[in-house]
Amino acid sequence: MTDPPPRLLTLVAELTYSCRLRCVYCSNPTQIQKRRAPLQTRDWLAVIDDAASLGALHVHFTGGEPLLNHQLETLVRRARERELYSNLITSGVPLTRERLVALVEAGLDHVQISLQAVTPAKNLLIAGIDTTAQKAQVARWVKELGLPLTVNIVVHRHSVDELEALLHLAESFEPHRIELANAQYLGWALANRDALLPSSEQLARVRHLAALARKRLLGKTDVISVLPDYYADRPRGCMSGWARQYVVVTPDGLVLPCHAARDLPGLDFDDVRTVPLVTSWESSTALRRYRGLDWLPTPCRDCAAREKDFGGCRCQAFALTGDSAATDPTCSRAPAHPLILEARSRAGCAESAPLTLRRAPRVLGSALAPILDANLPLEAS
Amino acid sequence: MTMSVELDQRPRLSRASRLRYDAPTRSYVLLSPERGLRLNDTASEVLLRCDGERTVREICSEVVSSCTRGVESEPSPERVTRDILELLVELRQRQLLFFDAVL
Repeated sequence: MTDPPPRLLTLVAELTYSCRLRCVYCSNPTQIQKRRAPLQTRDWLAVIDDAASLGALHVHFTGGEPLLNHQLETLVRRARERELYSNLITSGVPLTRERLVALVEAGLDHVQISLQAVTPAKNLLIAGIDTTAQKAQVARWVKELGLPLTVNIVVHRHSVDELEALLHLAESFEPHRIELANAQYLGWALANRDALLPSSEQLARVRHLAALARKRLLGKTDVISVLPDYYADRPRGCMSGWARQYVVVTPDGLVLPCHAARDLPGLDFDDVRTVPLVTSWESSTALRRYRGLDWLPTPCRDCAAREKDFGGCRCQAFALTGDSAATDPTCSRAPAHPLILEARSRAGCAESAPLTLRRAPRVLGSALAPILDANLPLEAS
Repeated sequence: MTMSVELDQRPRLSRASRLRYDAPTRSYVLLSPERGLRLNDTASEVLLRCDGERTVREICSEVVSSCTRGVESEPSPERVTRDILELLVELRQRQLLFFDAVL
């Protein structure tokens, strides 16, 4: 017999990998093993029902761009019926006011929009498209409709010099929260890491601007900012622990502990169409692989912080060391920590590495290795 | 810098927060973007009364009388009131409660 699983708190529903934006730090996979059919609405409804039965309180609709799912209103309505707090994580492209009204009427609780840049040139560099005007419009609609808004600003080497302007733009939307988020160096962000990792001088400036904003906006807007793990000497408590509070369901139905884990070798993730989420959460061997503390390597095993960071991020451990069960190299006690120090020292250099815009994931299993159609419809109908 | 609340104000839940019962923990939770607060009995009694109609003074007096029963070990009404005010300030700072002006 095994212990009962921990209580699921949050469902992350990645409705598609398609997106009009091509952000260089996108968390989507750069490649996938084989093409699998996308989930249909009835599958997503079952996922939402199961997550609620498992005790989840929150659902994040994300992607790619979740608005590309034409049944999003149906999913939001079901989330509300199951009393989940629903969050739409979106670029705001494409969105009309009418559709936003329909989503609010369906019970949407919260909208999160990210800003890539202020100037057109930098938008093109970071996202391959300048959508600032549309985002500002969407932010105004969200406020008009009375919904709370989080504005997410990703901190990286190319955004720090625009950060003051980005904060002012974000403030003009009068959001509930402003989140200065660090790029997580996995997926596209890892491919672009040498061009994105900020220097310690830049991070000092971020802290300074965040403190000023926090003071200026007290009682109006929460300003959230944390030191990136590459500089913290302590790993993030990634996803609050492997399959402990969060579950991610991918556009093609895989049940993951986080956005990036489908790349990890030797793990066989369930498909919600074969194993219902309510079963998978408890019995999936992949979810049980790094759940809890029993699997921890040294030096994590005896570390006082093990119940806070759970050994850090498995995907980061694999991406940097080739061993998914290693201590996250961002920890100063990790054998592989020199890799992080080396990346940091390169971040101090003036010359800039090239940036690659994200594409849809490359499919490895097919002979032609085709690129997934960026406008692949979600509904096979 | 901190914020305060006035006894004549009428708090109500902001649009960012949702109060719901959570069966597994047999408690109320206050949900907000990416967060959830599990509420103890007193906090639940307070938030269930944050309806934009009751004043802070009325909420305190109702909650004090609902949770004081003359048992020796229980906290004093002053203590309960102080805790309630702290809770309201905290939730106001997080923009989970709005405080309507005195009507």
